[in-house]
Amino acid sequence: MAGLGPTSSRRVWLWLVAFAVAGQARAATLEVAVADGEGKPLARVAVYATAIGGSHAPALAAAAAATMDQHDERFVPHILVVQTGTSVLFPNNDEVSHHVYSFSPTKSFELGLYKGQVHPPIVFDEPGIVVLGCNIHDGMLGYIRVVDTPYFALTNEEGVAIVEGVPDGAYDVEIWTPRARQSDLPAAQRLEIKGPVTTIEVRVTGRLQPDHDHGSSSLSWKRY
Amino acid sequence: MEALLSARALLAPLAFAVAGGAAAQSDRHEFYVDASAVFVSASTDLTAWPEGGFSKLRHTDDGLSGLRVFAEYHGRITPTLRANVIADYVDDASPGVDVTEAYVDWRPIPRSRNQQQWRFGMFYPPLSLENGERGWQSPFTYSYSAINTWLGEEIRPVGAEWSLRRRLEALGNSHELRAFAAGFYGNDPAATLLFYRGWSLHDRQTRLNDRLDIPPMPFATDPQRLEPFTETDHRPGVYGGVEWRYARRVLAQWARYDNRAEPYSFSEGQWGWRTAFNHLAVQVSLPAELGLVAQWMQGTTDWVIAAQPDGTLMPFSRLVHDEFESRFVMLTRTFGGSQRLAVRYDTFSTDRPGAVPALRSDYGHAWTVSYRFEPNERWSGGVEWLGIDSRRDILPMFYATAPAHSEEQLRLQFSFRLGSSSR
Repeated sequence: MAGLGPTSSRRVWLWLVAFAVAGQARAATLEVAVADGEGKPLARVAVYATAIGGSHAPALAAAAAATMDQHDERFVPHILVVQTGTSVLFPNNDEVSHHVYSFSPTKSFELGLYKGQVHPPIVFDEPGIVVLGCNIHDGMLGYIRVVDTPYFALTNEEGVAIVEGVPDGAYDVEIWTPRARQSDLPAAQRLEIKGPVTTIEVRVTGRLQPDHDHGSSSLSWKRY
Repeated sequence: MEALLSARALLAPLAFAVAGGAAAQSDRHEFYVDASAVFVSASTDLTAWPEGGFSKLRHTDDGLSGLRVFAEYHGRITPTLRANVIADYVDDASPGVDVTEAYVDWRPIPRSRNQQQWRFGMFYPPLSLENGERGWQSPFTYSYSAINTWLGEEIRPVGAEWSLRRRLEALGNSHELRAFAAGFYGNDPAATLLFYRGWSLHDRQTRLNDRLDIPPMPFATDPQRLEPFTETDHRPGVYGGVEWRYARRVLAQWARYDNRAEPYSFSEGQWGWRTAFNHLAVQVSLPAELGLVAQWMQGTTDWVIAAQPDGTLMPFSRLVHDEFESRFVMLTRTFGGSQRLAVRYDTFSTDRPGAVPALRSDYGHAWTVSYRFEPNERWSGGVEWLGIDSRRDILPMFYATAPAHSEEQLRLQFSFRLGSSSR
């Protein structure tokens, strides 16, 4: 999926984008460094750039697909960013069955107890936040952030998100993480993205909750 | 009514029938088997408690102390209803194969942030922070803390439990609250073993139909055999609690248990003991793969002294009020996921306030140090040292044994696991 590492679907995307914008604009790379109030880099923060009007605004993905895996009783990735209209598969690669559900208004669904890949993909057709849970394993928590743009990425361990192939133009750049109060997240930053590289820094001030899947594993948390 | 209440006899076949039904109508079931060889070197002058002695150790003979096997079965009845049976083979006390837990759990799909769960059958109350592994095993030490050892010995409600969990979304779903409540039958003799033998640290879980030898009572006419899950008075017991979690960082739980047994009630060779306790449990993830676990239990029991195993009372029999307390703190660290070190310190006491001499008192402390190695999902091994210092003033008066005892046990264990599951 676009923005989630060097996958083949991203390459397809880049081609689509390249065709769409051929002759009109050059593609730029957007680099967003996200840090907390003390300047410590924040990993796994969603960054997305939405085009403001103009001819560089992309069409909706026609057949975009993504995967939310389940492994070691965790959702992998913990946060998945997709463009509105994307089909998401939920394969279970654990030895035990999972029963994935969401009651989020953005997309409410349920995938009955299963292992492997048995359920058809789910299309996320509305932008917003989808909180995933497993009815069997209370500790499992995952997010799908659905955005109205193909230009997005997650920050890496160094706190940097790299969005490639962004046509030059004016964008609103936003970030999202479940770890911050939504009111603490910085407002959309309007900026002119220009090739080859546009770099910005974003700070998330205010109290941050712990990263759900990245705490100590020396204790046992399954009890019910 | 009588048939309904002899749930102990009904439960196992019922659970197996439900499980069998689930297996027959679909192939969605999961099996898990764990077999262990246990080697022990013990230093004590008391007899192991499963043989009716006063030792706080399960094994007092050196050498291979036997093969231990347990199996777990989970069968899907509907997508939200599961049958769970956990059976255990042991070679001491009341040997053979029997069931430690058998219940159906129902988890309706959440339609809001509130998630409910129901359990029906025979199960552990969700109190122990040690016994989170399959078969109610501990990933930390082979011998459980005094508190959880006792839960494994005498506490096994047969009833219904409801729990409600809510994630606090405004706080990034990091905070989670849970409340639980249960009504149950059985468990009326709970605390009998605790007061006749005293606190103990081991890994023997009492099974549904176990009859345990307990040390002879000073004025007993017959040897008493304990069946801790008996219902003596047809008065249901209750437990409930609240829990708070902060991501995988902090967990704190408070619970209260009360078997509501009528102390003068007697049934099937068992007397009712009115046993209630408060329980506090906390665990905290620390940096550098360290973790801290602590539990504290404080309770009381009202029972009839010199009540005979045949249901009669001695002329001087009377109701007494005893107190018990135990706490432990454990520090554990994992090394790269395949190795674990755990150090635990337990203190424990039983006491009768105002009694002179304190005949029923049993107090002491224990250290447990354990190292485990788990190279893969099939094999694991480990070594554990357990040292218990305790004192009971009743021992010299009735049993010609010194009051204070220092017991030690070195234990070596190898385990093989097999998890067969098919969809």
